[in-house]
Amino acid sequence: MMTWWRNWLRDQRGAVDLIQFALILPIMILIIFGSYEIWRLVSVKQSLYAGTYQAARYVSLNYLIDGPAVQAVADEIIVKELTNNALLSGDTGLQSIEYTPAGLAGLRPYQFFRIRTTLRLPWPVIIPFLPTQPSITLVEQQTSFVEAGPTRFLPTPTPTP
Amino acid sequence: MATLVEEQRSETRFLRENRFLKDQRGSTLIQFILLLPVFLIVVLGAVEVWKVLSVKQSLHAGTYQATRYLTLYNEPRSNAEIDAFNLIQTALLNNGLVADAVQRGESLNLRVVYYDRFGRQVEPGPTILDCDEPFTVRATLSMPWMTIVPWLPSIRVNIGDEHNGHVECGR
Repeated sequence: MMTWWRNWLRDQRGAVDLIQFALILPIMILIIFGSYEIWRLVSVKQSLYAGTYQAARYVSLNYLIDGPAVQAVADEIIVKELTNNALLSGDTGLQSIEYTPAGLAGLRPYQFFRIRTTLRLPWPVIIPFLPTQPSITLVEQQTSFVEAGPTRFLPTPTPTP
Repeated sequence: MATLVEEQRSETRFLRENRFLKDQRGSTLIQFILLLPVFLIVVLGAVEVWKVLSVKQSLHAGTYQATRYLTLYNEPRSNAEIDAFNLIQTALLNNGLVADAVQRGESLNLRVVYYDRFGRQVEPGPTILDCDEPFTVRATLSMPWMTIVPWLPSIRVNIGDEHNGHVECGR
């Protein structure tokens, strides 16, 4: 038993490979887990973008029908899009949804409005043991306009007698 | 001739006997040093490509919005082109990379040109076209580019995007 151990220690075959592996291992772990974290970040950002885009589109098409009440539905669309993301378990971290003009009040046809969503993504993986966990703030903005159908009209053809 | 051979011999002896040159340990270090620039170019290049694609995507979103706007809102002499330009500009400023460049005081050189269905440029834009006429919105952006490698010379990156629409009229 001891001779086997002593032989193993004395054996220098593969020593360079082993040390190389030991040196590369932390970098490899960093790259593998880091790419997962980046994927999560991109996925959440994409959900935030999709939600904000859908909300802006909803407001754009329905404002002239429902008025400022569309804001509640727009909020719902954004929250739903975020909860659909499996990588955001439980708390979505949604901070605020800001509308410009405030409350979407008094928009005229083809007037611009803006939706700005802020999401605070807790980031516990980078530094595991820290009193205050680091976080990343994602901001998404969409500028759109109130759609009201075509504004120019073809001349009505004169009826032939 | 003989002297040449002798010289070569002395050279090889020097290589053989010099302690530093004789040392063959650390050959992996040289491998690493040779591969490092290639590795850095691949990684940093990927970041730059990602940044360009991000700006391109913002320009695409803006041009799409502007085309939709002009498709529906195109009364003659309505200055709708100014609003369309603002839509593209806002979409670009929503991108953090573009917003940072503007904050540094850089000019964006955003140019929006409209073409009719024959490829002729129309001024000021689709508002002078007739009903149901197709048009093309072409936005080009030339922005100063800051790479994440600090000592590289700054360059300008040209990004363009194009969308087709038509003058929609109610009947």
